[in-house]
Amino acid sequence: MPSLFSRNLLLILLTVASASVQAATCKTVCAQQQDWIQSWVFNGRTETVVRESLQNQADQKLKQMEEACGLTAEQNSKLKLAATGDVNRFFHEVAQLRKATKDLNQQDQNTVQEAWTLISPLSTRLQAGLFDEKSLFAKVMSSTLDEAQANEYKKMLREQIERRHHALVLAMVSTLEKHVPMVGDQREKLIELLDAQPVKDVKQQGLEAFVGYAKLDRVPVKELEKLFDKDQLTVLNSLRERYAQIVQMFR
Amino acid sequence: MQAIQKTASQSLLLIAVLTLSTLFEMRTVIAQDPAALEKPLQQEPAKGEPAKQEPANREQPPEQQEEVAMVGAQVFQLGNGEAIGVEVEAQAVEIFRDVTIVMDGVELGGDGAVQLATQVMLAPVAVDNALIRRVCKPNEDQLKQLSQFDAKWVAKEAKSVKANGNKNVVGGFLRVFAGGMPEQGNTNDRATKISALHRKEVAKILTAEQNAAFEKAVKERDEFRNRANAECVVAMLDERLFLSAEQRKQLTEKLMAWKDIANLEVHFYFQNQIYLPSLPSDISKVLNESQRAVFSNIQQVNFQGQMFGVDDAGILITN
Repeated sequence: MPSLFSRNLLLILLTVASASVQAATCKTVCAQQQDWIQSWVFNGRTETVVRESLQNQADQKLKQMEEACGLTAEQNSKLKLAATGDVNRFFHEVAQLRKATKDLNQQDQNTVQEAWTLISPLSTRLQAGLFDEKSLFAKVMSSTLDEAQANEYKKMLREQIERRHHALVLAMVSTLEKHVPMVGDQREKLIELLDAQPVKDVKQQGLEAFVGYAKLDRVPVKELEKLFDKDQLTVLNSLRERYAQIVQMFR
Repeated sequence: MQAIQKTASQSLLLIAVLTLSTLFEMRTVIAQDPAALEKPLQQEPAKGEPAKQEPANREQPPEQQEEVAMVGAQVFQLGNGEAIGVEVEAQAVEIFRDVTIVMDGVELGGDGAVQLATQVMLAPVAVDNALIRRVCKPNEDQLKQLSQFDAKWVAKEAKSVKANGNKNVVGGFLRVFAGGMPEQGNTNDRATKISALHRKEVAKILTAEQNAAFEKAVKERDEFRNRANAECVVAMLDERLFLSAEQRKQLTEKLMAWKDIANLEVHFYFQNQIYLPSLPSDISKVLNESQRAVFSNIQQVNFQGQMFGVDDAGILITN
């Protein structure tokens, strides 16, 4: 029994020691092998998954255009090629960035900052979508679609943005109700007022979440006074003041 | 006999390994923060998650206490408007100082606790009180009775309501060996229960007709919130999947019936457009094959917390 106990005690010590060494080794090796592009640009996804995802997005966009304005086979082929070009150009930049960040020391805070400065524009572009107005896709589209097709497509996009903004107005009013009690009639009239306020589409700047507050900022005070009592207005005005700076971006 | 000895020895080995590893972990925690034994184990924040607020020292010099009271009072004014007066606000700051606040398994003290108690637990009650005043037109006597549901009442209930806690195995194990705080209930769960209790108590004061009007207003507000969140999710999906009008309609209906829809903080996903919330699997039935392909590649993340207003409970990555 004593020999069994000593053997087990030795085993315990060995286990603890080995676990500590493993943890220390893993920490060093994992830090060395961390792929900054995968972590910061692809958000943990592999390059293959991101490429596939972008290709699917392009296919989906073509389908949408097909439904909105009826593309010819030639137009479809040109746009498909342009979308592939955008995806390839993006991954070319990814490859260049990999080279530029390959030998940077990941343990040094200044280097990490430097790497982030290089990487963040690519990350932002991927978040915003590759087929924006600066893309090859957009350029080919403007030279390929005829006027009627282009108008149909713009109309469809405008309606999509209006739906998004309406949804954000509803979300903002719902959040307001956690601060300001509203009766049903007040809620409906406030939504009508907010929907009627024009604001810029600021999706690219990542400010879309503030659309409801931007619209609230544009509602004339007199209109709000007709709708709400003094106490409700106190809270509404506090919220308007809180977001006054950021909603300037929507003008 | 030999078999029994062997089993006993193996059990001893297992207990020893677990004890040693726990003590090893505990030593690390204590080395980093000597006050660790006084509070539940805090998990490391995930990437992108805002840092949790540290408990403030409850015995502060007078000038610091004043500052804390100011923070609380500002929050009250913004959060509740006429729902509670300035005197009640000042009173509540003192009352909530003694309430244990646990958000996402982390205990908060000082102004963090006051702020959370105010916004998460008191605000819904205060806003409902104000809704009753507008919808039910209570008489003087009813108003007097309704005034009991103030910060003091919420604080009392916060202490007595049994809330579901966040399970933390390592924290629990540590507590068994090292003592420390017992596991606390989740503040959001506590807030929901306090709200339900408030409605039950209010029903005793209002007439049947008044109560029906109040319940109707609350139901409409809840349905509106579900619709708002569902339409936001549909708008996010539409951006990526280019949905037809019929698909948008079907998805809105499905999402409105989803049990988690009311708790979504949809603004987060408009701000972080590579993510979608973790949606129920049956929504993919509404999508066509190519839409499903795009949908399956979108990262789904549960954001718990609020961008505009209340708490700040961080991000939980689910897949």
